[in-house]
Amino acid sequence: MPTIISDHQVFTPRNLAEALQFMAQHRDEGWRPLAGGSEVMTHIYDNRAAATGWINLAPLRDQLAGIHEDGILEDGIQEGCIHEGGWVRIGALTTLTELRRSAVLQTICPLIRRAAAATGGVQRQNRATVGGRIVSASPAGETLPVWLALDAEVELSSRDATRCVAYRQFIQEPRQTAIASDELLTAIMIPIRARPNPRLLFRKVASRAAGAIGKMVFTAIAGLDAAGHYQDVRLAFGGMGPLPLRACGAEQLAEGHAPSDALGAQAANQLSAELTPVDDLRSTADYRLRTARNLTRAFVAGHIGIAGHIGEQPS
Amino acid sequence: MNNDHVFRFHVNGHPVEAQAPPMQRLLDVLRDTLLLTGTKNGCGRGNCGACTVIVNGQAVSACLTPVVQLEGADVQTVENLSDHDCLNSLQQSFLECGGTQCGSCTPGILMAATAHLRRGGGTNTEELREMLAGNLCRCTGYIKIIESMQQAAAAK
Repeated sequence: MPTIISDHQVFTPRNLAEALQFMAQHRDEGWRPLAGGSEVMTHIYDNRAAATGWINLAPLRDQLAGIHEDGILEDGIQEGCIHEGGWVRIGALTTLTELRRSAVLQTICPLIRRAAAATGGVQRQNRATVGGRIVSASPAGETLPVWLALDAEVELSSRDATRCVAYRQFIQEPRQTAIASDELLTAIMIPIRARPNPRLLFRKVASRAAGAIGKMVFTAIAGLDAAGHYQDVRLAFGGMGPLPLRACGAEQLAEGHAPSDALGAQAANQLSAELTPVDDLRSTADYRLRTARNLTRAFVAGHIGIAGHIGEQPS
Repeated sequence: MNNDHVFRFHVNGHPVEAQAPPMQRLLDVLRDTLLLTGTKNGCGRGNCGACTVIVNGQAVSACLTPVVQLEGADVQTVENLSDHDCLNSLQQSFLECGGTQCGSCTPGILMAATAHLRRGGGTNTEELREMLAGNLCRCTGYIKIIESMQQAAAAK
């Protein structure tokens, strides 16, 4: 049956308070937020939209777009270290283009910029929002493993309360999140964590550099302490199954050890025990696991990845 | 069910009042209501770039943009590039360098390039290729398209 576009109703609030009031009053009526529309519009025209009632968030951009450092950055920390002690708050309606152009994010964590740049073309990046990508929870979402690796938290607001939930806890089931029907995702919070000599990697493996949905996404963060041992290792994957995930076993295996080929091989072997990728139209379980193993081995061995303060990643 | 509303915005400098359901795509409003058929309907899923238009200075896919989010917006389409029959320098370059090819992707590419060049985007081959990542040409001839853009940028 063709999509009947006139079945879709829209409520346009004037501000955040009005949106939350509406959501509280109509919480069981199936209304869903409409951010940049880049997912919602394709779902409507594919006849698999989650709702027929939409809350238009466009007027809330003044309140919910933008990137701010909330924490106090300590002086005197070696250049290139990720500073201790604060948060970067990214408003939910910040577009992927704004992530790409943010000087703050380029300094704090260039991985975010890489992930935003790998999501579709410019036309999509200009409309797609940080919050929309998180709530729609596409299995191959490029930015999602980065939020996992950064230990991000999401800020959820309702008329009566605001709560923060670890992103890791927020994503529980495929294409679903822990958001309540009267809650709006208003921001994602990135803890600013000191890691000595941080090394970073973002890699999307796809049939084309942009536009194509990824076969898999891998992102990694690790520090190296004064003795040259790994500290705070994060290895996160997207596209391996319905949810982005961290390879915690491989992370623990690397923690406290110096990078080496042997350690890389051990981490890769651990992945085989930990990951059970899916077969689907974009790739096979076998290809996904081999690619994850190869990238993990190379990163843990210290062969790929960039220093934390450098914006660009060698190709 | 009639769920039409009236939305007011500007298209190519002219004020328009479009009567449409709120989730109607800008693509359909342009092509079916305003009869501006230069904007092409390609994949309809935000992947091919054929429907690229400029909204408030930014290149966006008209198929991903619901009309309800356009209240007060400034929309520019490919029809706005030429001055009646006189092509602008970017269009003229596409003609001279063979960048038009079959023509299906051309309006979207012209609009993506226009937004990029207006905001001072880089014009080396790598920068232009990255900018064009959201525009598919199935004649597989991106080289002439890049050359067309570079000629237009150099002429400025």
